[in-house]
Amino acid sequence: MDATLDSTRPSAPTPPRRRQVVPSAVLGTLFFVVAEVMLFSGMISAFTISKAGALPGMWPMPGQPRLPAEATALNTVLLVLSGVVLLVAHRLFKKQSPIAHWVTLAAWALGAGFVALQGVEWAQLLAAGLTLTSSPLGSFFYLIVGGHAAHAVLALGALGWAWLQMARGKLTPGFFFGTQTFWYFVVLMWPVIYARVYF
Amino acid sequence: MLSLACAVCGAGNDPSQGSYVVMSIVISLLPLAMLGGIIAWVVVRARKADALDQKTEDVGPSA
Repeated sequence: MDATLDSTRPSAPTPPRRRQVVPSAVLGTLFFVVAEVMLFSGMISAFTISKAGALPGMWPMPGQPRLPAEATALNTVLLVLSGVVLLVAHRLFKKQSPIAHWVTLAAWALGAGFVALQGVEWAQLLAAGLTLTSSPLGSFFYLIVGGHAAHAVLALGALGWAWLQMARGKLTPGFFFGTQTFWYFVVLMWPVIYARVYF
Repeated sequence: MLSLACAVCGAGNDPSQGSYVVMSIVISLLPLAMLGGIIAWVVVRARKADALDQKTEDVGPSA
Protein backbone atom coordinates (compact mmCIF):
# COMPACT_ATOMS: atom_id res chain seq x y z
CA MET A 1 0.00 0.00 0.00
CA ASP A 2 1.23 3.40 -0.90
CA ALA A 3 2.53 5.19 2.14
CA THR A 4 0.92 8.43 1.05
CA LEU A 5 -2.54 6.84 1.22
CA ASP A 6 -2.00 5.26 4.65
CA SER A 7 -4.63 6.83 6.90
CA THR A 8 -2.95 5.46 10.03
CA ARG A 9 0.17 7.51 9.39
CA PRO A 10 0.43 10.42 11.81
CA SER A 11 -0.25 13.68 10.03
CA ALA A 12 2.32 16.47 9.90
CA PRO A 13 1.92 19.08 12.66
CA THR A 14 -0.35 21.86 11.53
CA PRO A 15 1.23 25.33 11.55
CA PRO A 16 -0.05 27.64 14.29
CA ARG A 17 -3.06 29.70 13.22
CA ARG A 18 -2.04 33.24 12.29
CA ARG A 19 -3.97 35.72 14.38
CA GLN A 20 -4.69 39.24 13.09
CA VAL A 21 -3.87 41.64 15.89
CA VAL A 22 -4.81 44.78 13.95
CA PRO A 23 -7.01 44.74 10.83
CA SER A 24 -4.94 45.34 7.70
CA ALA A 25 -7.25 48.20 6.66
CA VAL A 26 -6.61 49.99 9.96
CA LEU A 27 -2.83 49.52 9.81
CA GLY A 28 -2.67 50.62 6.16
CA THR A 29 -4.82 53.68 6.90
CA LEU A 30 -2.66 54.52 9.92
CA PHE A 31 0.50 54.61 7.79
CA PHE A 32 -1.31 56.73 5.21
CA VAL A 33 -2.45 59.06 8.01
CA VAL A 34 1.15 59.39 9.29
CA ALA A 35 2.22 60.52 5.80
CA GLU A 36 -0.69 62.97 5.60
CA VAL A 37 0.03 64.39 9.07
CA MET A 38 3.58 65.11 7.92
CA LEU A 39 2.21 66.80 4.79
CA PHE A 40 0.08 69.13 6.92
CA SER A 41 2.93 69.63 9.39
CA GLY A 42 5.15 70.84 6.58
CA MET A 43 2.51 73.28 5.36
CA ILE A 44 1.71 74.55 8.87
CA SER A 45 5.44 74.90 9.56
CA ALA A 46 5.93 77.02 6.44
CA PHE A 47 2.88 79.10 7.38
CA THR A 48 4.10 79.66 10.96
CA ILE A 49 7.57 80.75 9.84
CA SER A 50 6.17 83.07 7.14
CA LYS A 51 3.73 84.63 9.61
CA ALA A 52 6.45 85.13 12.23
CA GLY A 53 8.66 86.79 9.61
CA ALA A 54 6.02 89.26 8.45
CA LEU A 55 6.65 92.89 9.26
CA PRO A 56 4.48 94.41 12.03
CA GLY A 57 0.94 95.14 10.83
CA MET A 58 1.50 93.24 7.60
CA TRP A 59 -0.31 90.00 8.52
CA PRO A 60 -2.86 89.98 7.06
CA MET A 61 -1.78 92.49 4.45
CA PRO A 62 -3.64 95.83 4.44
CA GLY A 63 -6.83 95.62 2.38
CA GLN A 64 -7.17 91.89 2.84
CA PRO A 65 -10.08 90.43 4.84
CA ARG A 66 -9.56 88.78 8.20
CA LEU A 67 -10.40 85.11 8.51
CA PRO A 68 -13.82 84.50 10.15
CA ALA A 69 -12.56 82.68 13.25
CA GLU A 70 -15.86 83.03 15.15
CA ALA A 71 -18.03 81.66 12.35
CA THR A 72 -15.61 78.81 11.79
CA ALA A 73 -15.96 77.80 15.44
CA LEU A 74 -19.43 76.46 14.54
CA ASN A 75 -17.93 74.34 11.74
CA THR A 76 -15.34 73.07 14.20
CA VAL A 77 -18.04 72.04 16.67
CA LEU A 78 -19.91 70.18 13.87
CA LEU A 79 -16.79 68.27 12.87
CA VAL A 80 -15.79 67.33 16.41
CA LEU A 81 -19.36 66.26 17.09
CA SER A 82 -19.32 64.01 14.03
CA GLY A 83 -16.21 62.31 15.44
CA VAL A 84 -17.97 61.71 18.76
CA VAL A 85 -21.09 60.37 17.01
CA LEU A 86 -18.91 58.03 14.93
CA LEU A 87 -17.39 56.69 18.15
CA VAL A 88 -20.91 55.89 19.35
CA ALA A 89 -21.63 54.24 15.98
CA HIS A 90 -18.49 52.13 16.42
CA ARG A 91 -19.70 50.82 19.78
CA LEU A 92 -23.17 50.13 18.41
CA PHE A 93 -21.71 48.32 15.38
CA LYS A 94 -19.62 46.09 17.66
CA LYS A 95 -22.79 45.22 19.59
CA GLN A 96 -24.55 44.58 16.25
CA SER A 97 -27.18 47.15 17.11
CA PRO A 98 -29.83 47.71 14.40
CA ILE A 99 -29.53 51.50 14.78
CA ALA A 100 -25.74 51.54 14.15
CA HIS A 101 -26.17 52.56 10.51
CA TRP A 102 -28.46 55.48 11.43
CA VAL A 103 -25.89 56.77 13.90
CA THR A 104 -23.19 56.39 11.20
CA LEU A 105 -25.42 58.39 8.86
CA ALA A 106 -25.74 61.12 11.51
CA ALA A 107 -21.94 61.30 11.76
CA TRP A 108 -21.75 61.55 7.97
CA ALA A 109 -24.37 64.33 7.92
CA LEU A 110 -22.45 66.36 10.53
CA GLY A 111 -19.27 65.96 8.48
CA ALA A 112 -21.11 66.97 5.32
CA GLY A 113 -22.43 70.03 7.18
CA PHE A 114 -18.86 70.99 8.02
CA VAL A 115 -17.76 70.74 4.38
CA ALA A 116 -20.83 72.70 3.19
CA LEU A 117 -20.23 75.53 5.69
CA GLN A 118 -16.58 75.65 4.69
CA GLY A 119 -17.72 76.06 1.10
CA VAL A 120 -19.94 79.00 2.09
CA GLU A 121 -17.03 80.57 3.97
CA TRP A 122 -14.73 80.20 0.96
CA ALA A 123 -17.30 81.86 -1.29
CA GLN A 124 -17.54 84.82 1.12
CA LEU A 125 -13.75 85.14 1.39
CA LEU A 126 -13.33 85.00 -2.38
CA ALA A 127 -15.98 87.70 -2.76
CA ALA A 128 -14.13 89.81 -0.15
CA GLY A 129 -10.92 89.61 -2.19
CA LEU A 130 -8.95 86.83 -0.48
CA THR A 131 -7.72 84.63 -3.31
CA LEU A 132 -4.90 82.17 -3.85
CA THR A 133 -2.69 84.92 -5.27
CA SER A 134 -3.90 88.00 -3.35
CA SER A 135 -1.51 87.60 -0.40
CA PRO A 136 0.66 85.01 1.40
CA LEU A 137 -2.22 84.50 3.86
CA GLY A 138 -4.56 83.70 0.96
CA SER A 139 -2.06 81.26 -0.56
CA PHE A 140 -1.52 79.42 2.71
CA PHE A 141 -5.21 79.51 3.62
CA TYR A 142 -6.42 77.88 0.43
CA LEU A 143 -3.52 75.42 0.40
CA ILE A 144 -3.88 74.21 3.99
CA VAL A 145 -7.64 74.52 4.47
CA GLY A 146 -8.25 73.32 0.90
CA GLY A 147 -6.03 70.29 1.50
CA HIS A 148 -8.00 69.48 4.61
CA ALA A 149 -11.29 69.92 2.75
CA ALA A 150 -10.09 67.52 0.03
CA HIS A 151 -9.32 64.92 2.71
CA ALA A 152 -12.71 65.56 4.33
CA VAL A 153 -14.52 64.97 1.02
CA LEU A 154 -12.55 61.76 0.43
CA ALA A 155 -13.29 60.54 3.96
CA LEU A 156 -16.99 61.42 3.54
CA GLY A 157 -17.04 59.25 0.40
CA ALA A 158 -15.53 56.32 2.31
CA LEU A 159 -17.87 56.86 5.26
CA GLY A 160 -20.88 57.06 2.93
CA TRP A 161 -19.85 53.79 1.30
CA ALA A 162 -19.41 52.21 4.75
CA TRP A 163 -22.90 53.38 5.71
CA LEU A 164 -24.38 51.91 2.52
CA GLN A 165 -22.69 48.56 3.13
CA MET A 166 -23.78 48.62 6.78
CA ALA A 167 -27.40 49.27 5.78
CA ARG A 168 -27.17 46.28 3.39
CA GLY A 169 -25.64 44.13 6.13
CA LYS A 170 -22.45 43.60 4.12
CA LEU A 171 -20.00 45.82 5.98
CA THR A 172 -16.81 44.17 7.20
CA PRO A 173 -15.39 45.40 10.54
CA GLY A 174 -11.96 45.95 8.92
CA PHE A 175 -13.32 48.38 6.32
CA PHE A 176 -15.40 50.24 8.88
CA PHE A 177 -12.50 50.61 11.33
CA GLY A 178 -10.20 51.72 8.50
CA THR A 179 -12.74 54.35 7.44
CA GLN A 180 -13.12 55.48 11.04
CA THR A 181 -9.34 55.85 11.36
CA PHE A 182 -9.32 58.16 8.33
CA TRP A 183 -12.28 60.16 9.61
CA TYR A 184 -10.67 60.63 13.04
CA PHE A 185 -7.59 61.97 11.26
CA VAL A 186 -9.81 64.54 9.48
CA VAL A 187 -11.51 65.42 12.78
CA LEU A 188 -8.34 65.71 14.90
CA MET A 189 -6.29 67.53 12.26
CA TRP A 190 -8.84 70.32 11.97
CA PRO A 191 -8.51 71.92 15.46
CA VAL A 192 -4.74 72.17 14.88
CA ILE A 193 -5.30 73.88 11.52
CA TYR A 194 -8.00 76.11 12.98
CA ALA A 195 -5.82 77.21 15.90
CA ARG A 196 -2.76 77.88 13.73
CA VAL A 197 -4.30 79.45 10.61
CA TYR A 198 -7.31 81.38 11.90
CA PHE A 199 -5.67 83.15 14.87
CA MET B 1 6.13 97.80 -1.47
CA LEU B 2 8.42 94.78 -1.62
CA SER B 3 8.01 94.28 2.11
CA LEU B 4 4.23 94.43 1.69
CA ALA B 5 4.24 91.78 -0.99
CA CYS B 6 6.71 89.44 0.66
CA ALA B 7 5.79 87.95 4.01
CA VAL B 8 9.28 86.62 4.59
CA CYS B 9 11.14 89.91 4.05
CA GLY B 10 11.51 90.20 7.80
CA ALA B 11 12.96 86.67 8.00
CA GLY B 12 15.94 87.72 10.07
CA ASN B 13 13.93 88.92 13.06
CA ASP B 14 13.76 87.09 16.38
CA PRO B 15 10.20 85.65 16.14
CA SER B 16 11.09 84.18 12.78
CA GLN B 17 14.23 82.52 14.10
CA GLY B 18 12.30 81.14 17.06
CA SER B 19 9.66 79.73 14.70
CA TYR B 20 12.37 77.99 12.64
CA VAL B 21 13.74 76.30 15.75
CA VAL B 22 10.35 75.29 17.16
CA MET B 23 8.99 73.98 13.85
CA SER B 24 12.25 72.10 13.16
CA ILE B 25 11.88 70.33 16.50
CA VAL B 26 8.20 69.57 15.88
CA ILE B 27 8.78 68.19 12.38
CA SER B 28 11.77 66.11 13.56
CA LEU B 29 9.99 64.51 16.51
CA LEU B 30 6.46 64.12 15.11
CA PRO B 31 7.12 61.14 12.76
CA LEU B 32 9.10 59.35 15.47
CA ALA B 33 6.30 59.90 17.98
CA MET B 34 3.59 58.72 15.55
CA LEU B 35 5.44 55.59 14.42
CA GLY B 36 6.44 54.83 18.01
CA GLY B 37 2.81 55.20 19.04
CA ILE B 38 1.62 52.82 16.31
CA ILE B 39 4.27 50.21 17.21
CA ALA B 40 3.43 50.48 20.93
CA TRP B 41 -0.30 50.12 20.17
CA VAL B 42 0.26 47.00 18.04
CA VAL B 43 2.51 45.47 20.73
CA VAL B 44 -0.10 46.12 23.45
CA ARG B 45 -2.85 44.56 21.32
CA ALA B 46 -0.67 41.56 20.53
CA ARG B 47 0.09 41.01 24.23
CA LYS B 48 -3.59 41.30 25.13
CA ALA B 49 -4.48 38.76 22.42
CA ASP B 50 -1.72 36.42 23.64
CA ALA B 51 -3.03 36.67 27.19
CA LEU B 52 -6.54 35.90 25.95
CA ASP B 53 -5.27 32.87 23.97
CA GLN B 54 -3.41 31.61 27.02
CA LYS B 55 -6.54 31.98 29.12
CA THR B 56 -8.57 30.03 26.53
CA GLU B 57 -5.96 27.23 26.42
CA ASP B 58 -5.93 27.01 30.23
CA VAL B 59 -9.70 26.62 30.34
CA GLY B 60 -9.54 23.99 27.61
CA PRO B 61 -11.32 23.54 24.26
CA SER B 62 -14.34 21.75 25.77
CA ALA B 63 -15.24 24.72 27.97
